[in-house]
This record gives sequence, structure tokens and C-alpha cells, in this order.
Amino acid sequence: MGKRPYTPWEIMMISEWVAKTFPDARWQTNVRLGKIQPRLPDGTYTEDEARGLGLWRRRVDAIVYLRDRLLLVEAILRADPGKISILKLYEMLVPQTPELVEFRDLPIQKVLLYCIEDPVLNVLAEKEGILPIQYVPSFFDRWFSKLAGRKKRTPRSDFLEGT
Amino acid sequence: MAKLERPYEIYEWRDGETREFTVLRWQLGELEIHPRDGRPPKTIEVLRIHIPPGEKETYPPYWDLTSSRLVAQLKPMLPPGGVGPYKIKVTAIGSAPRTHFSVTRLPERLT
Repeated sequence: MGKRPYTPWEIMMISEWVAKTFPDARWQTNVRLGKIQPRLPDGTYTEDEARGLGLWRRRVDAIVYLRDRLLLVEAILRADPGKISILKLYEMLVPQTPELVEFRDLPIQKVLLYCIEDPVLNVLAEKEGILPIQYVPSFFDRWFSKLAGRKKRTPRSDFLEGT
Repeated sequence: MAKLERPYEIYEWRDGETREFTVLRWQLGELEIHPRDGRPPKTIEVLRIHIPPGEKETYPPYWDLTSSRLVAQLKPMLPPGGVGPYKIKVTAIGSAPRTHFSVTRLPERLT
């Protein structure tokens, strides 16, 4: 069987969502977060070199720059509770990010964008101040048809009853 | 999907490079590429962005963008109907074939 061609589904999903939802806003995908830490003790890096080192930092899927807040967005087609901790980490890194210094005073809204729902995730997200948003991208049928059968259904959530 | 007219002008990204483009109009098409690293030829989706002559010293006044990751990010943010102008900023992270891209869509539609 031939190798299946690579399709960047999540990138397509988040680009489509931000373009549709915020047509007039400035936004950016794959944004590096955190400090740039040159390791040469004498600090002789040029500005370009330091920027190059900064490319190896963690990256959030997208930031939307709104007048009154920053949206920190992680996207995943099949919802995954692991994204909760990732978003919390990214929120902590924003104030340390030199490229975002002008936005330091803006409140941050963490957003988890997903397509196939996981009810567990929605409960966790609300507890952690994260806004879960379900979005069905235009390419849904094409993507869904390539999924293995067991991945086509929502994960069980009955253990959440009574919480 | 239609084949794009020649000549092709494939933009080769360097690791860490940042570049701004003013997109006057854009076209989607496909072309066959022959990777230099020995991988077999394949037909890929291409986004051709037409830019002002001042942004590129040599003919033709457009760039062909071939990375699937980059095309996937750019397609939804480009103006419907293929008409601009819009300004975008792209940063390449890593080397081909595993380059990732950070894309900024600037808010103002240029007039």
C-alpha cells in the first residue's frame, strides 16, 4: 500500500476558522512563545541570530490580536484533554515572549477549537477558564472518510456523571 | 485543478527567513515537482501569489508557493475571488521537507 500523502488538517482548520471568524483582525499562526535564551556568555548574538534561536521555542497554533484581548488558540480535530495543559502553559509563556511585549497588558482568552467533541474536555476546559469552541471545517467529509472506524465516534463520558 | 502557466517561480525558503508579501491576486493550481533530495516526482497543489513589481526585481511578478503546510495556512486567509491586495508576513521554521510556517495576516485591506 502506498504512503498516504500528508495533509495538514489542523492547520487548515485553524486558518479557516480565524479567517471566517475574524476577517478584519490581525492574526498569526504558529506563534513562538517564551524567552529567547542565547547561550553564549558574552551575549554577542546579532539581532538576526537571536531571532533564529527563538525559532526553537514552543509554538501556539494561533493568536488573534483583538482590541481588548488576545485569543490564544489551539486546534485539534478530535478533541484531546491534553490540550488543556498545553494552553495553560502557553498562557504563562505569553508575558515572557519578547515579540508580544506590546500586548502584555491585554487579558488572555484561551480557546480550544475542536471538531469531534469530547464531553470530558468541555468540563475540564470550563474549570480551567478555557473556551471550548466546536467548529466543523469545510473539508470535514474528506478528513472524516480517512479516519479509522474507532476514531469516528465521540469518546465515552459516562464516568463524568455526578461530578 | 488547472495547471498553472509557465514560467514557474517557486519560492525557496531558508530556515528562519521572514518575508512580507503584498498579494494583488492569487491562483490555485498544480504542477509536477522533482525534489532535489532524491524523492520521486509528484504533483502538488500550488498557490501562485501575484505581487507588485516593486517587491520582486525579476520577471515574472509572482511567486509559486508549494509547501502544503504553507498553502493550507494561506488559502483561507486570502481574499475571495482571487482579488487583493492583502498583506501577509511569513516566517519559515526548519528546513524542507519539514518546514513549518508562521503566517501573519495583517488586518487592513490595502486600497
